[in-house]
Amino acid sequence: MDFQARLDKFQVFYYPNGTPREFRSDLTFTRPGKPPEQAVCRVNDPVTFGGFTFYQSSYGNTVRLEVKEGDKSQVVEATVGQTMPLPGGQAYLQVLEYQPDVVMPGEGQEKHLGPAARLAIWVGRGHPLIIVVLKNHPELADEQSGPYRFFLKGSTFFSVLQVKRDPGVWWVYTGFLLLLPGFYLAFLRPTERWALVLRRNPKGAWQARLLGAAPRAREAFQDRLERLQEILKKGGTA
Amino acid sequence: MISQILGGVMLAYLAAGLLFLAALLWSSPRLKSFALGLLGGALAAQTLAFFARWVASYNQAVIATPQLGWVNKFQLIIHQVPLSNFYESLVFFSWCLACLTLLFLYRYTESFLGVVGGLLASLVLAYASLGTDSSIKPLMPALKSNWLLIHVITCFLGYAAFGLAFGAGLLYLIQAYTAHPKNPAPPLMDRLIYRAAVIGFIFLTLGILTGAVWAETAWGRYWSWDPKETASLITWFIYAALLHARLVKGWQGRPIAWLAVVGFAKIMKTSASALGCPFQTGAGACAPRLFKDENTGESSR
Repeated sequence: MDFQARLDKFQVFYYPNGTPREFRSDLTFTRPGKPPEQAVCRVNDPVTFGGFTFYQSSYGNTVRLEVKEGDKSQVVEATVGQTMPLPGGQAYLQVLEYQPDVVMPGEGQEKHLGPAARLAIWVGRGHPLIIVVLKNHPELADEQSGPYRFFLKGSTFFSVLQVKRDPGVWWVYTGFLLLLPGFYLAFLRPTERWALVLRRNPKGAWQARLLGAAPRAREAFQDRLERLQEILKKGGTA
Repeated sequence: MISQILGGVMLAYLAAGLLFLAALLWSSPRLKSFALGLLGGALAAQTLAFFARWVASYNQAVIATPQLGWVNKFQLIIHQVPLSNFYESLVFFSWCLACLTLLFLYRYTESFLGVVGGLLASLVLAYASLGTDSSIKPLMPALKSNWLLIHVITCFLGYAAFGLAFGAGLLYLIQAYTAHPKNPAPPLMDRLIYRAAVIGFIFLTLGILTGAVWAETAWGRYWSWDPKETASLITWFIYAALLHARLVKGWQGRPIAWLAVVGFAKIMKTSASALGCPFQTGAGACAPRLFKDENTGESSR
């Protein structure tokens, strides 16, 4: 690659009913000595630059957590779904889920609690501790069990792009297109064989026999042959 | 309103099928032309309902994305074609069945075709109305493609042709295993099975190819061996075997009829077992899971 690609931002847009409407990555391509070019990559709408095609293939969340153990404090970044060792190496952390806004239900008086993450922590070999952390309510950390206290500091999206360089695409498409005349010839234009046999009969006159066969379309060919026979008979004896 | 029209269309298809049957039993040309008119009228009504739903679907989408230029508007019209979920696909499937039946009837004036086509179309429509969710849902990003239209149309024309081959095959087998008077004539039905299978095979191939092109332009892969793709490939092999056996090996009659029945049963089975499988349209099923799943855990608004 003689260029660099940078993800400027990743966004998800929603319909009013909450289902996703658009996944979108804003990309900037820079080539040394040339002005940068910007492009938008969406699902179903890939971006091609310098012979490479970028497909929006997935996305996810990274969560920033402050971990306190006694008076030691450290900030870790964890990808949702991945297990990672905690600082010190004594315990493991997995962010099970991240929600950008947890809403407490209630007719007309929903309460928005803000971003939340659900964590699993393994200390030793026992069962995991499941902990919920709310970004806007750090005071709830005192209710967490175990030796650690977790505080949700923020979250960022990441975008997964599939990159492909495939100069053979048009060859494949040509193959697809070639199937069409193939089908036409195979199914709609069945092969036919014809033979005209000329022979002199003992009286010295020419006698002609017309032979035909179409092994792939017997019935249709039979009909045609019969019609042809009728026409020839009508045409007289000449 | 649209669902009422479709209810009427369903009854009309059923009535047309039964009238064709009566016309066949009493060899009555008058009943037959009446059935033909009913089938054509119902097809016209269903076409109207299809476009009405297209308009409704577009109007709903326009609210979510206002202020579009006319190019984007046109794009949105294409994307909002009502072929994007199980219900809409089934309705279109019944439309294809009725349409192909009419085309075949134009070429071969055989009432049994009307029986098969009318009953199948009404059955599919009845299942769509009663068994599936008919509400208009916003289009998920995975289906926002110009390929949706052409891919679904080719696939369902293929399935509809296979449906007709199935019906003719079933009739053929019933006649072959019982000592019924042979009407319609078996050689004619055999030829019809073959013709329908050829049309279906060509359209199924086009459907698979357009699906592959769509997958390539959307995800960078022609084929990812997901259950839906595999099922369509198996179907393709069954009908390829049918055509090959007939064209190269010269098979006729019962084995061909059996293959036509088995092939369509395969299509039905995969659609019934994995809900909406061959009917759930196209690349939506081939999409990376994340973009298909409506509950991705993201609900911020």
